[in-house]
Amino acid sequence: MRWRAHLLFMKNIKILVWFSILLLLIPAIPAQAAVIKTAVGVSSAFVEKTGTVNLTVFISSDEKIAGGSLDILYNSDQVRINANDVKMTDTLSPYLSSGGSDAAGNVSLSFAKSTGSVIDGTVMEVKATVLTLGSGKVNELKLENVELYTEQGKKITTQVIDGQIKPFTGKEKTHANPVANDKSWVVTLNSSYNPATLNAQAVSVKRGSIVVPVEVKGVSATKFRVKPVGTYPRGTYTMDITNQLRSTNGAKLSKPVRFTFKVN
Amino acid sequence: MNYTMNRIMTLLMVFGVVLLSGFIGGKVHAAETLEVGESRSLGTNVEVPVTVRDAMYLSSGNVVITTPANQGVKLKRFRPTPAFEDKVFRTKWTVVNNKLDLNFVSISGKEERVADKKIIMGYLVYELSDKFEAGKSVDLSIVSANMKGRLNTDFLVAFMHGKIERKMPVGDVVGNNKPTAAAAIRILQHLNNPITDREAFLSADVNGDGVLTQEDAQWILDYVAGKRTTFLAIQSKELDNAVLKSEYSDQVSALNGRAPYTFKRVGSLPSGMSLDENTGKISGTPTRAGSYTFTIQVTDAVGDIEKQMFRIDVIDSNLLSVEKLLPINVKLNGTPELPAKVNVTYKDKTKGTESVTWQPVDTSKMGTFIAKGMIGDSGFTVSVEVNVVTANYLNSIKVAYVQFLNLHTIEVDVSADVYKVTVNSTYNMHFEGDKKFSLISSSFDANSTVVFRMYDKYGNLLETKQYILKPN
Repeated sequence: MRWRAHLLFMKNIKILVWFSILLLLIPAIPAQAAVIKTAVGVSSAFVEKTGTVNLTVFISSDEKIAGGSLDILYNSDQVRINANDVKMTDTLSPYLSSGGSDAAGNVSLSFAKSTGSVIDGTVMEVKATVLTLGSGKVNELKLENVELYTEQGKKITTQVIDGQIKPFTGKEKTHANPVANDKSWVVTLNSSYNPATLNAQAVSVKRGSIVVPVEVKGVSATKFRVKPVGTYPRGTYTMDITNQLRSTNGAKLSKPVRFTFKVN
Repeated sequence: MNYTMNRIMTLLMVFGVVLLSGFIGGKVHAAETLEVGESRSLGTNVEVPVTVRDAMYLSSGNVVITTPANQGVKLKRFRPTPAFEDKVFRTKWTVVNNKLDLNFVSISGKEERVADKKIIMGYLVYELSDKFEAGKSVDLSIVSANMKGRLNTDFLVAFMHGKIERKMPVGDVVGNNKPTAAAAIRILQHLNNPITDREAFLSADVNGDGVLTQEDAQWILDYVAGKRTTFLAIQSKELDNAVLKSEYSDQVSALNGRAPYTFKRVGSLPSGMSLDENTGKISGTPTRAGSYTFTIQVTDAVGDIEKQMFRIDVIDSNLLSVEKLLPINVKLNGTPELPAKVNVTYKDKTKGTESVTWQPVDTSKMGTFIAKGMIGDSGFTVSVEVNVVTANYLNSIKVAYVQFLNLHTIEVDVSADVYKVTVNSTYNMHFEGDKKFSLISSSFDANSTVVFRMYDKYGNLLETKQYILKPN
């Protein structure tokens, strides 16, 4: 009986180990008094060699936004983004907008309409060609001049999440046994996260280099769920959790996490 | 043989003289330009860019720029761009008594290639006090600029002096002191919540067409996103009709760019007419009837370009000319008081009046519109600028007249927005306080017609009013 209880306990531990990814949150940014509910970011991409990589620019807010602007600065000696490599998504279709790449180190976006709306999604897709991996093998995608406005013209306080193009250097884990094709993963953090930063850029699932559509949804202050939109076809998948997921006080993940699992 | 030799010798001598005269009398054009920007601000500070233009290479230089003292404009510092902040050039500067003395030298010790032949060295950072009043302007003068380029050779630098104006920056609209997406939001709200302040309205009307539309918002978004680097515009207007074999004159104007402007025509003007490239004035005597469509291209002092299409109809009429009508103000949703008759000159040089049939004018939106009218059955059209506004700027005019002295005493009662009133654009009326201005003058004939012009504190024209000086 005692032996069975021990076995059950060990099994629970195992489940916890495999089904939860304990993510250490290092306070890299000073603690803030209130959670910034609006985030603007450019996605990070993990690449091991030169070539093309798809990036996204996202805005997540529960506040109504009537307009705004941003610049993404990059090193044009290391990364090439031509004018036709930048596309606005339908998220901003109700807005008057402008933007694109000057092909010399700056991608810009500006948009406006007469009334405010909640924006939560990808606003721009960028195809970048990595010419060389930069110093420390990191190509920075730095967001500058980020300004979001309400309908009244008031500036909205925004958490800005810069992106990077770099080789993966985080924690890697592999799930031992194959899982069902509708597998729903619940990821547990050891401190609460900022929901504005929980999105398809911070948490993504890929099959090879193909991004698989998943639903990323908060479960509690410290947990979120990742499940497929539909089902996973048979194959091997990697779930990347980048350090673009921020804690409520703005802290980054100490290291990105890559979790590999197999679907039968 | 001798004859041929003589001709050759003569030709050579003429050629030599032409060459020599070109060398002696010809102007030596400076290829490189140092430009101090023109900035506007209603805030407590402003930055003015300092740019080297038309330079292929740059190795070192010294620049001295002064700003007048005691004007409420204090030069605090110079903010170099990254290239001039130890990235490409090493820069040392001092600011003493509103004077910047700046030296730079390339870190490599060699000339540096200038991308697109243009490089911003940095920004003059000014602090503005209340003493620098609305509508005022100070000049920023380049005292000296010595620069070296390839192989350490000296440039002959042309100066483009700068200025700071106490006005709202073009495209600002909401008081952010620069064009932002917030301005575009505000313009898009204008239809339901009009921008009534004249300075803000003009700041919002970036394309200069007199009305605020989605196009203005788009221009500002393009500027914010870097797809547009200037708000240079050609002021929209409909050119007057021209009458066959009669003298004609009208003007195309540019705004929001860096003066002076040069104008160029693309397409055909009516034969007999020409465009003054320096002023934008179209004049001449048309010799053939018809409808002529052409494009005017304006280039400003820093090479920015804008184009707009225009049309002139040349008609054959018994009228030689029609009086130029002054702009008319009308309140939102009101009916403009358009003249039922206008003064005309007939082809036989006699003068008279003719009835005008006006097309309806939409006054449901603020802005400047052109009302068009047809003069009898002459085929001649007349137009007048109608400003749809939300306020009456002129409330009343009182005139007293002493005949034996030919002395008029004029008193006008205006709205609080009015800071200056002129008569015939020549006489400044005296501010009496309590929204009243007055003028005592013997310069006007009894019952003569005068024109009052009212301006706001920024110098923007608010209203033009034609008035017959009759004692009341």
